[in-house]
Amino acid sequence: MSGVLDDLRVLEIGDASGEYAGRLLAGFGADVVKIEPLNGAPSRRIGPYYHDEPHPDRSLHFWHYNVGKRAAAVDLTCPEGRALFHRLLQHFDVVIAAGAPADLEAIELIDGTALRCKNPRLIVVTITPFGLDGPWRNHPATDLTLMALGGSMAVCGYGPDDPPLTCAGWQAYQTACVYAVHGVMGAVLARDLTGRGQDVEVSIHEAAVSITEWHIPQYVFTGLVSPRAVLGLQFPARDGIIVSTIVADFIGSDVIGRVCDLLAPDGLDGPLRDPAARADRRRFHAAVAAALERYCALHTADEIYRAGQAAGFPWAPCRTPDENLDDAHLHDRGFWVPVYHPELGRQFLYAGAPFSAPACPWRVVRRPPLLGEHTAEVLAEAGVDGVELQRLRAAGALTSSEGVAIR
Amino acid sequence: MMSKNAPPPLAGVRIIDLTRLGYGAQATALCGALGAEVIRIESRTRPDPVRVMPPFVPQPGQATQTETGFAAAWTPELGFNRGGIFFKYNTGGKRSVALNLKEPRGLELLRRLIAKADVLTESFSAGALERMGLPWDGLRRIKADLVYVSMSGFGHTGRDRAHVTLGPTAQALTGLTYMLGLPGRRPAGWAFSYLDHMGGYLGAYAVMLGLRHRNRSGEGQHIDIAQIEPGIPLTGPIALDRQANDRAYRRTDTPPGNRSPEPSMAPHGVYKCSGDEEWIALACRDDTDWQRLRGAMGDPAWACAARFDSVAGRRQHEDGLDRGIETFTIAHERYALADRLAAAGVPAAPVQNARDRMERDPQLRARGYFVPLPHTETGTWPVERPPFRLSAGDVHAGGTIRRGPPCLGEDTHAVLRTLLGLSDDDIRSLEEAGALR
Repeated sequence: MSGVLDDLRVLEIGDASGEYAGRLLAGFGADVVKIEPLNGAPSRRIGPYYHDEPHPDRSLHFWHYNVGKRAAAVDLTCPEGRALFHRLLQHFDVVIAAGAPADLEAIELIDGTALRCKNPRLIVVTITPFGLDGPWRNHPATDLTLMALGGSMAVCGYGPDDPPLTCAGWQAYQTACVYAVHGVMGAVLARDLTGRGQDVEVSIHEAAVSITEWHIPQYVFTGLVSPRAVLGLQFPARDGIIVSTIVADFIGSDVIGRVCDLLAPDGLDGPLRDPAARADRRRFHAAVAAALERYCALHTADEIYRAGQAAGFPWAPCRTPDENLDDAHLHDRGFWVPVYHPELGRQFLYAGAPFSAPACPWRVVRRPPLLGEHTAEVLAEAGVDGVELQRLRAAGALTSSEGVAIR
Repeated sequence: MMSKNAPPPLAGVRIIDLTRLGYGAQATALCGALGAEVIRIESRTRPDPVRVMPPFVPQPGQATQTETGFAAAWTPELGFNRGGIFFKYNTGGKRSVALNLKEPRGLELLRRLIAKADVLTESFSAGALERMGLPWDGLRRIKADLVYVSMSGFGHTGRDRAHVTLGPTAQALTGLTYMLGLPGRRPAGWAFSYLDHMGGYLGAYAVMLGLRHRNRSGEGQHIDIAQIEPGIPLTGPIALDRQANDRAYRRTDTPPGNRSPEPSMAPHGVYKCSGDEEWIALACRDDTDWQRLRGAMGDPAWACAARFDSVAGRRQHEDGLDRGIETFTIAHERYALADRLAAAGVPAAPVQNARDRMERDPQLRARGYFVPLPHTETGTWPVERPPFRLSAGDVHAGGTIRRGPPCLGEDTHAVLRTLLGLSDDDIRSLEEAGALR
């Protein structure tokens, strides 16, 4: 069975903000080649590392975002390297460039129209902090500052007296990458008909703005701005794990009846059964919260999860990400994909398909690439012969010899 | 530049859309913005909860609500077209057709619409469509190459497939709730349903992959999305850390709050500014950024201490570092300070709330992020457009019809006439039978 994107050759370049896009495309069959500096992509220097030994081929961060890709090391700071890169572009369908606009300009990647003079089918994707125009175009940014602008931090946190918080990991970057994939798919579907590529321009800032659910409509329609607060009712279970239970918006009379049934064996349902108690919504919600808090303290998180779900409630324990390695349901669905790392003689489970597409399934055919692992291979595919390879090495555009893989 | 007059990428694609709430509906909103014709199937007998959930859209001429506290509950006088959150989820020029699927004739109309569709989307609990008499085997008989995208909480396979989610449930399970908080405290979690967005966005990817596969092979399929699965990769390398280093993430030093142990950056946080509830976020990516920040602060004596020279030292003394920085930021207005620091090369930005994003953010304004769209009953309102542009494809928050979210059943007659060729008499008879409620 072939992949739905197996005719797509994707060149990926730039900083770590765009790496999730290539991963999402590679899983459905695209041949994603990462162009990295001779000393490795910046993301190779982000920990944690395998056995906590910092090394370009041992970054677990790099592994997560680059599994399924190939990698070629080319020095784009020298003219020969840039020329080589632009020659490679003629053999690719998509280029995904992530970083500050000035960095993309330095490698002549901003002007898609010019690039398409040589390769009319090329789809040029830029993932930049603020997009390619506007007063903040060249402002420096990180995921943190973009999440701050996006609006989620203002409302995420323990309360007005505690600071605004962002989520660990790079949620603004990852959100932008998913939108970049939409742009790529739109451009690919259009190109399937027209034969011509186009530009896809993604603003990470706008991506981070887009994820705050009701907060923009609430301001538009009421002029109100929500204070920072914890969403829903979360309580510690007997084993100390916090459980996310009910969301206030969804407390209707049918729901309360079932909540009461769940609380009855512990004798906690009494105060909620009285219809008169439901007259004042705010006080009734407080009574529901108090009863649920006592219920949670009597049972383990997993018991509460199972009992709540059996009653049809969208309850769940607040797991850590790694605790899902033990989730039987995810294993039933084949979510965790084993990937063998021959250099380490070990197999690791990687988070797999974002969804199950049986006619064109997600597959991981490669472990994450070693530094510059596929340089010669990728260049040969673009018609670079041995003589030229030597010339490029001598010019410093490529590493002088094959990289040495760790054992 | 190439012509903007080129058709949008999904021109000619028809989606019959049974999604509700935020997670499913955002998938089809994106498809609509990319040019698909999205036909929502709804019913007054069982309205989408966000049609009857506050905040409510004021009527033309009516002042916006200003009362604080608990939002007013829905009343029948409000109708089904004033749910404000509906506006967020149902852009893309979606049409709305009212069908009562409990009536045999209503269900029959749905079958006939599916026969004319490229894509069917739904966000019911697993098995619900089957119980309505539309199992995947039956759907394929209606339309052989149908792309059917189901968007449930846990998917249609696996032992927990009957489990249900809202955004907060999926966030709790994946770890995204745990990852937002201060070390040693309970998780704060997301204040909204981040995974309704990210799950929904992956739904749009699924639709487009399914269409491309169909275009290439002639084959339809049932693509099955479980809301928790798109969420897990967003947690990064934590599951690999457990396998590689036997290190569990549930420990006293996790989550890191706003700090950045990896990649090692300091300062990396939010700091109070001069106004009430006004904060600035700033990050020093390396020692150069720190020197720039120190210079912008006027090289105060505390900041020139040698222990702050390296990122390792700043990480080790981060509490003192953060206190020192806040003595500086507290005296400044957040936007002016962010501009000044950005000009000095330091990543810095005000913490913006919804009002700031709409009223102050000059970048969003310059790039036209908020798009005014007409709503048939309540006038023109700003909605958010997709955060990407195509140079040769007309991506628009109002879809090809440039319209805001649909009123319930607004397009019933038009769709039944044009798509199914029904006559006025047919429609009247269906209405009398209660099939179009």
